[in-house]
Amino acid sequence: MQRISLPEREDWREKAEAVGFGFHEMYGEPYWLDDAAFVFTLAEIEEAIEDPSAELHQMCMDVAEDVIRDPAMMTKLAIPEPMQDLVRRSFEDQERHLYGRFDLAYDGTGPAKLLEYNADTPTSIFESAYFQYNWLTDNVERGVLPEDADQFNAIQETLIEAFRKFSNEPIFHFAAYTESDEDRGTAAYLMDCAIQAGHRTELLDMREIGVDDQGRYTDMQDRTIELCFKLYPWEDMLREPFAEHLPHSRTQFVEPPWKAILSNKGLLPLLWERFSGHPNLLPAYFADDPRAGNLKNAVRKPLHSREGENITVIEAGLETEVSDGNYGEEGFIVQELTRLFEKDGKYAVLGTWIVGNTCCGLGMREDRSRITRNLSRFIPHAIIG
Amino acid sequence: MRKRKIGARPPLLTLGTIAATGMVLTGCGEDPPTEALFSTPTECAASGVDLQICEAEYQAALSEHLKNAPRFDGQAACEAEYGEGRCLETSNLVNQQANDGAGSFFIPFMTGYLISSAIGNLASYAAYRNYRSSPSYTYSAPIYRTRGGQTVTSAVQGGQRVSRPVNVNTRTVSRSGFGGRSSSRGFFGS
Repeated sequence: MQRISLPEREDWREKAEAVGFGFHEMYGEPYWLDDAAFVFTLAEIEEAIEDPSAELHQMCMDVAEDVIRDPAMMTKLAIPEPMQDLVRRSFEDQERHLYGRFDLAYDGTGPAKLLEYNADTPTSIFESAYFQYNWLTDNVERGVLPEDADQFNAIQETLIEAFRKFSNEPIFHFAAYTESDEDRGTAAYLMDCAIQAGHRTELLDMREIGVDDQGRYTDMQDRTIELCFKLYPWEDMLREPFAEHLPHSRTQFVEPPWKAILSNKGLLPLLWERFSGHPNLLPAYFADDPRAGNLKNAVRKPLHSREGENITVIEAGLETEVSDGNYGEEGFIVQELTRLFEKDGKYAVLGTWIVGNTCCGLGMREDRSRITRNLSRFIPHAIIG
Repeated sequence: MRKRKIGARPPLLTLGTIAATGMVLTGCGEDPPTEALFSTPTECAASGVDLQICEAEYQAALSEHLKNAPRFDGQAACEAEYGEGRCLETSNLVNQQANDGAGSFFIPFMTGYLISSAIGNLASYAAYRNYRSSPSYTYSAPIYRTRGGQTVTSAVQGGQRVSRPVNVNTRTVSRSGFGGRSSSRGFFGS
């Protein structure tokens, strides 16, 4: 694994704009880097990244099964009591899920370590699946990368396959917070994949979802919503006014409610409890567990943090890095600090994509801080050798 | 040569862009494509669709109904879901299309059919005949009404005939019950 520099494609900005990838710059900073890349060997990808990710997903499913059997565990994960049955039923009925992204620490040596599972509302899928693919083929074509340069990226075709497994009888609604370019773009991209799988689709804002007098969710044309992808966290939906209709609603949501278990940072101590010592796991405990105090170098994360908010890095027992934010009222977990790939003061985190139950691709993000935040940059990767 | 890790086919965007602007958000212009649910060909024709098209699509839905209607072993089980006197035994059918050798069983009455907007907008029966042989044609779906008043269609899933809810028209009494918590944060992706 190495980080290399290469000349940027002169027209990459035009190419980004042409496909509506407007968030290649965010908050005035470049988000997509066209003149850098991570290079892996095939063995690194398959043995250190792909296979462990697939195994981690299976382990997470095992933990989810434990959690749905144990109301105390659900409460520990801050799943509101009136909503626990909904979460349990969605798991027991094996409601189909679509995708998730593991964040892994890996620097080319030793096993990759699970940092967290963004199993409910992951973004950066368009960059990973589409824009990164074209970056590789363009660079092979212009001779900057060798002809046999490869990439761990079967994401889009796996997404389309996964979308085919959903019924195409009802309209597939896509709900997102449309004021955010990134969220709207992510929903629009997934909607495009759904169309390619034969679905009729409709995009709407989360706040536009309505209910009729029978408590059925409705769209802007006053039609019932039967099947709905939502790029919106379950932990929020379960606490909002329309949550009261969830238990009786017929709407099939994607991701399903049981993803509230996997996207919860409380998953990390539960994984460690059940698979203690697993090479791809870091020791982790709920903050109120006395064993948490034994971790002298650790990261404290809220159960429901997004975008790296409210994270604290603890080294030799002292807080050395803190990010602000609005999360944390539902509790915290503590996870052992691990080494990230570092070059020139920038830290990289690997994002492996799980679509259905298949690990099908990789996207790399880099940040100047060890806490990967919304100012992180996306860097393409290639497999050479 | 070893198997490559990159997808065999370059990814495409059917909409050409992920910049979902007004067009995608509202469903392409002033007249969003909607489907129409009719009980009979007469009702369909009364809405302005060519009567011949209405009848042809009714036959298509009926044939789909006989082939793929939700099936029950007993009358009681069928009536429990679709209401008393609202099921029939397939052995009573003159048309044996439904009887594919699997023995006799009970299916609900078809109460209507769902015509796609693409068909509803066709100008003539001739245009319809052309459209029917095109790959984008999908026949009108049979519709059933459950005991609880829910509108469903039939679907085959994993070899099983099951009922599937369809997007029915209703009246919204309230909105903005989702999306509030995160408005304060701006965005959610992770």
